[in-house]
Amino acid sequence: MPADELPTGSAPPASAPPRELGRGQVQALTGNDAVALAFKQVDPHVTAVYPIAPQTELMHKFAEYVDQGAVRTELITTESEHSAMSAVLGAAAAGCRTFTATSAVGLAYMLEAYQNAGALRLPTVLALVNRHAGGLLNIHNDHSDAMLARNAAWIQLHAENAQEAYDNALQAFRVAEDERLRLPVTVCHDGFIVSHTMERLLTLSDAEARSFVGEFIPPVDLLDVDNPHAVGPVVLPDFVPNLYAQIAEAMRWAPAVIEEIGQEYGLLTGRHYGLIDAYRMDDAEVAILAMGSVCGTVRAVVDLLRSRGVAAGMVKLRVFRPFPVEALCRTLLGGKLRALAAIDKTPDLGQGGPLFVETSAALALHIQRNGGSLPMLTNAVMGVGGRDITSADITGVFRQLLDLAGGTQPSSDPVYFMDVGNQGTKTLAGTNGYRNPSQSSRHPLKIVLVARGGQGARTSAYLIAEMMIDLGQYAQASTTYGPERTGAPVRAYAKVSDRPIDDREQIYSPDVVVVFDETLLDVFQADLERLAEDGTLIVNTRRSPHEIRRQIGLTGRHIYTLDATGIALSEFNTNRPNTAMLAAMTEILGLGDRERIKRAFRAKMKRLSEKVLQGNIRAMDRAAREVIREM
Amino acid sequence: MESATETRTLPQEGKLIPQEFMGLARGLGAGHAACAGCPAPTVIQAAIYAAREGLGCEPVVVFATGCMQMVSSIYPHNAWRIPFLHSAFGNAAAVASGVEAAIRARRARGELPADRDIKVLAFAGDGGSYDIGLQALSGAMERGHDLTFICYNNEAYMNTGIQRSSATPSGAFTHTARSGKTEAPKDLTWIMAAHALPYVAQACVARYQDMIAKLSKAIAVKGPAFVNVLSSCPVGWGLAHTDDVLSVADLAVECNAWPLYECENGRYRITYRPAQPRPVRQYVQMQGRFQHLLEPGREDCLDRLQKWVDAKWAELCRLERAGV
Repeated sequence: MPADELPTGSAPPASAPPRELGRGQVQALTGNDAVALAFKQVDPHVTAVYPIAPQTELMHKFAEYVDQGAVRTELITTESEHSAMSAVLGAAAAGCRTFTATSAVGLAYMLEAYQNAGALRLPTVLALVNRHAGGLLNIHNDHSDAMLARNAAWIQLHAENAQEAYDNALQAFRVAEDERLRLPVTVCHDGFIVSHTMERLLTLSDAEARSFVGEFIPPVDLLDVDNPHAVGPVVLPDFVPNLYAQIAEAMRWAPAVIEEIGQEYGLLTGRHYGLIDAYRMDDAEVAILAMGSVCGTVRAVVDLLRSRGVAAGMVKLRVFRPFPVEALCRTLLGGKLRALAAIDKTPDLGQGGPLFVETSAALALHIQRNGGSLPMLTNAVMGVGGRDITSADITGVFRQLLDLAGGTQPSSDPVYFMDVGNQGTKTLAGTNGYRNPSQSSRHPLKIVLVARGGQGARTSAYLIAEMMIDLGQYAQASTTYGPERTGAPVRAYAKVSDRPIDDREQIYSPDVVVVFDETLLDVFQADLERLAEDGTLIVNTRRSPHEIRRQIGLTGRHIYTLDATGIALSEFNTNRPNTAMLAAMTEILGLGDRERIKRAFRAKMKRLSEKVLQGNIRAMDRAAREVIREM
Repeated sequence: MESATETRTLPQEGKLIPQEFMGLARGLGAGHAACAGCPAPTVIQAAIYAAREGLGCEPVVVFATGCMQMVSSIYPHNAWRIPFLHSAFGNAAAVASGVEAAIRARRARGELPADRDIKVLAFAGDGGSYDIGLQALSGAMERGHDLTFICYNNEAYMNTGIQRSSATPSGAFTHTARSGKTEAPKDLTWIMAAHALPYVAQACVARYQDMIAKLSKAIAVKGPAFVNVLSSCPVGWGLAHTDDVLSVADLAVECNAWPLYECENGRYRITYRPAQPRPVRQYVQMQGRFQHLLEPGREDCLDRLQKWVDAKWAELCRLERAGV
């Protein structure tokens, strides 16, 4: 198929290989909550943390465990990230199992102590919730923070989704405490895209997790006062190379140990972990190599291209440090691969992103030693500063790869998929959304909730996900993050499906739009314009659907209205229309049932008074009756 | 030059450190590579002595980067006979807070022998306390960790070759204040007292009894404690003879340039009051770092220094009176 005829979108065809999802208890959790759960199950001695987005909610959750007495961990709330890592370092040297969590410039700020903990070979775990750390103030996701720390004596694991973030967090303690390595472990998951997105995952029981991680045997114990240790001496040139040679040696051992622990985890859970994950690579002619959440979107596009006869594949890198040279060469060389693109979510200003440069060097050296031919290589720099990577973007990379395989060189390396000509306005225009005509077979069903900060849009998105996962379905629910405060326009979204949802792009062509505040109809006009032809619009207003249609000039689509604010004010005296809107939506779409929403709401809103809870529940019942359909 | 080392009766009870404690067996042993005459090891030994012999507890030492860290543990050699941890320049208090949390966490899980009272002693020079370490120090103190932070204060960055710090007195030469520092030093002891700590004190290495008494109180107290110990530097202060390290430090006390006092739960108490304070000029005369102040035409600098010392002393007396 010629490159310019490639399809766009993310529909997984029926021919996709079966997925091994493993065993465990089904949960609806965000990436941050999933990692916090893993840390709770491990119950470390000490943690020390400092707030930074998007890591904060991980620590909120863990602080809640501390407060409830669910863990015995000493929580130190330091005055900076530098002190957080320093305190963890001190506790680790004093014979404790420890962890901390940070993001972005938080890692930059703690880098001195981070490098020190690695060089001192102390066993600890850092959850790095990836966020831009390139120099601009930007809270969104890319990998520039992880790449900043790539030459510290730390192992670095990456996760595609909440499931992998949870699984990696548990395995990280085993790896960090393995006496053959004595290297601490950083576990990465993508900020917001994974950290704040609620989805379905399978978890171990506390007892299973604890038994997998095992007892902590301190490799060094400062508190053993009868056998005093001196930790952290000054090292002169006569020993520095020797000590780094030992670290390099440990890094050479690490792949085998990480795989061994990943296989043991696989026996327990049915989810086996290695260094890389090759997807449809056996006969792939063009492939993408990537890390983190973008791999979900790449997988969805690979499935789509395969269904159109393109021999596409993907290699997901789980372990960035040590760099899995052998596993990559084995997978990428000697087969049918003709062109490979590495996706780097780091604005590298040299020869290309770290993933591209390291892979190129690994392949070239392997060929120098063993012969063979190098596939065409290119580098796509994408997703920097949280710019959404759409399935259309990924299709664009494959288009370049097909050109490259056909002999056309890219105009530059790396190729920046930054779309700077359309900066800031890309969000809703110019992407190629895919749509299935029939609502019942939509994969996934895409729901956008627009509201003002404080009206509960994100909570509503999470409630939808929790309800659908409770019903045995799959979901992703999140919100787009910025500096929004109370009263500012916010946009949350939920994707639901009866199948696992791989693609991580934001929603550009919704099937359902729920408007919590009618003054936002103009602000989110683009969502209305791109609403599916047979899509559904639900507006919180006292006006009729017909009046709304006249205001926005929309043809087709199903329009409903509900005076959710009126209901909320009369039932619990607060302008928080989310529960009523949610109930109206489930009623209209026939999604789940109201009783489940009520249950999920009760479980989530533990801090509300019984009076307010009851008011919300009455509001849900009224909403289902009072929602107005266009005549 | 007058002798500044007369024998005086000090208000505190205390024992002198026995000679054998200064030797191989305990604390910081032989083998460290501090400069000839450097009194900083004495500060360290005094704290360890107060902890072990005076209070019967086991000290665990956390050190900031600096002279004493640099000279006491050079891989693969080590002069420490007790547990020692060094991480970086600015994080001694944070590292110490992690060790202190470790003690609590492991005690709660029954992982430490019940009969051992382990105490965390954090040491830093003035750079690691007043400057790069101030944030971590303030944080650890505010969080209320049960640890003692001891600043061995030689009033400049001596380890890196004598640069000004915020503890450097005005007028003093450093390589980054070549005509003498123009600003007055930061009052870290007062800043620590403003954290409402159970115990804060200012001591001087030339006054053993007073220093040991304060270190003992600081270590014994439950919660965070801070002791700022003036520790003269034969190199950085430009002393003609290494023998002068204690007499010059003593003169700092006698001229009120370094008053001895403590602040217990917000109440100030001056622990030594010179009967007749010496002129600051005498203190300045002993030190190469101040020699330019004695040149003709610089009288105003010396004058300002004296006025600053007098004003600080008056302020301290006022704080003491206010607490009674």
